[in-house]
Amino acid sequence: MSPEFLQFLMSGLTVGAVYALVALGFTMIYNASDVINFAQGEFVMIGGMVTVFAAAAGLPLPLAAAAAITSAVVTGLLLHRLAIEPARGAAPVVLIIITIGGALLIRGIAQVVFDKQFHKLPGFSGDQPVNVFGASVVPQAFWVIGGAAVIVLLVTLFFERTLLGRAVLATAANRLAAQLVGIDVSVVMALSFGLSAAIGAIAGLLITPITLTSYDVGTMLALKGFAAVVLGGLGSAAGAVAGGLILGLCEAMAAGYISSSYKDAVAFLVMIAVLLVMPRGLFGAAHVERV
Amino acid sequence: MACEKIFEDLKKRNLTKIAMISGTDGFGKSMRDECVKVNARFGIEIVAEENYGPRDTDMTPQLTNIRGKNPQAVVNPGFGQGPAIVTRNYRQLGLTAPLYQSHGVASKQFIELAGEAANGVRLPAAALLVADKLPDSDPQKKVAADYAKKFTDTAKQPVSTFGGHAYDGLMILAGAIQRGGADPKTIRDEIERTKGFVGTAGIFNMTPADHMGLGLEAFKMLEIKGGDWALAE
Repeated sequence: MSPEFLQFLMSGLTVGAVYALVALGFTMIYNASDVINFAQGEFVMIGGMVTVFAAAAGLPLPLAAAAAITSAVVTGLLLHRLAIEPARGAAPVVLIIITIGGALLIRGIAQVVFDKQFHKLPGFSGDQPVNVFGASVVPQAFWVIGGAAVIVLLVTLFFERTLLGRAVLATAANRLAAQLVGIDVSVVMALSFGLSAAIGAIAGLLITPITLTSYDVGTMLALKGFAAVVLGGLGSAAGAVAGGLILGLCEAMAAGYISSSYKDAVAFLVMIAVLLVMPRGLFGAAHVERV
Repeated sequence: MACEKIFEDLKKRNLTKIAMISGTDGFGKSMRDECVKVNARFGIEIVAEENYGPRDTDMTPQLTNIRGKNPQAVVNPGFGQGPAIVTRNYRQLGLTAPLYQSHGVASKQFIELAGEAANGVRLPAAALLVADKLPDSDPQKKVAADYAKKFTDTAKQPVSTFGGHAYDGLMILAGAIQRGGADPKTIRDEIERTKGFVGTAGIFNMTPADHMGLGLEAFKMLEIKGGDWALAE
């Protein structure tokens, strides 16, 4: 492997890991509620911005990170309680539009509470790049990739090994049946909003040292994360992760080997090609159709 | 004009093979086009050209390709946070050729975002950024220093050239109204007659054909040293 290839690979994996985390957040909420939560990018923004401002106010990094995750979870729960829950009888499309409104509101509040400037955070393990077989990588990239891996593992364990996780899966499979066996669907939905907010916030605070942050970084991330979800298959956690990584790698490889002018186009072409062959996305076939 | 200033500096340093990495936003694109128009006149060859989207978060693939072409200098026409990420990625990849940014990053925020990586970056910008470092003989010294003081006292943040441009524009307009009254036509004519107006961005000499009124000497070549602006010459 040439050092150039490794450089592109690391870049693609880092960016892809972030898309994967955003996509995972989409998936959790979609599974519990059929809603595609377009405020997912805002959770990422809150994660980055609150960490930056809490750290600037003198909090040590772990506490600032905890404050950021807490703020995002509270925002997620409020979004569910104040916007989604009151409209629970409405069609998913209506709820999706509500989340877009929620995203705009959160972005607006962030503009006032914080500011409109870009902010940075020092790397958790310094900013001195390390040499990986000829590729030059900032240590923060390992935090992002490792953090994403740990979260994916925890989420998988949560769904497969805990009663609560299974309750979420049951709600996803059939809401009425879940209610009949005594699962409080409303609690499950609140839980999924809280969890996906936490995942988003962790993604946000992990990437800020690399990508910088501002009140409006969420828009682009939500778009790319959503593309990853569609590519991987709506509703599949494995698909979300695969979709995110593929999208990130496509962008980096296209920028490296084809042309940086067309890197987004290449990523989206791959997506269209996959969807033509597999209309439900890479991992979508296993998903049960609900009528 | 920014390109000409950069190319002039490159020529002085005998750097003739350059690479460009441009933002695809309006500013980056139009400056890139200007650069490609004038590079031959300065005997400068562009050996590699890359792009990045205004919201991109990682430019290492593009810079890896640039590194492979061994340019003697790299120019980054861009605006906003993109150039800060380019600068950080540039140092991450261990590129050592001089890096030129544009007046699109002429605010302290760029230095803050790029951090250590910003040191050594050169850019053409208005004298305002180095108001306190201008020689006393410089005709802009007083205007720039007064504006810088007023701005930092009021806004409690470091000056950027962007606010300076608005200030110059307002002063030119005010001057035109004072001379000719508030009739739209005379305002226009008086603005076009503005000569020798000393602003934060340079000394303006307007004509009916030239509505910018600045010459190449209005740009100072700055270098970022120890996290602050310094005059490169």
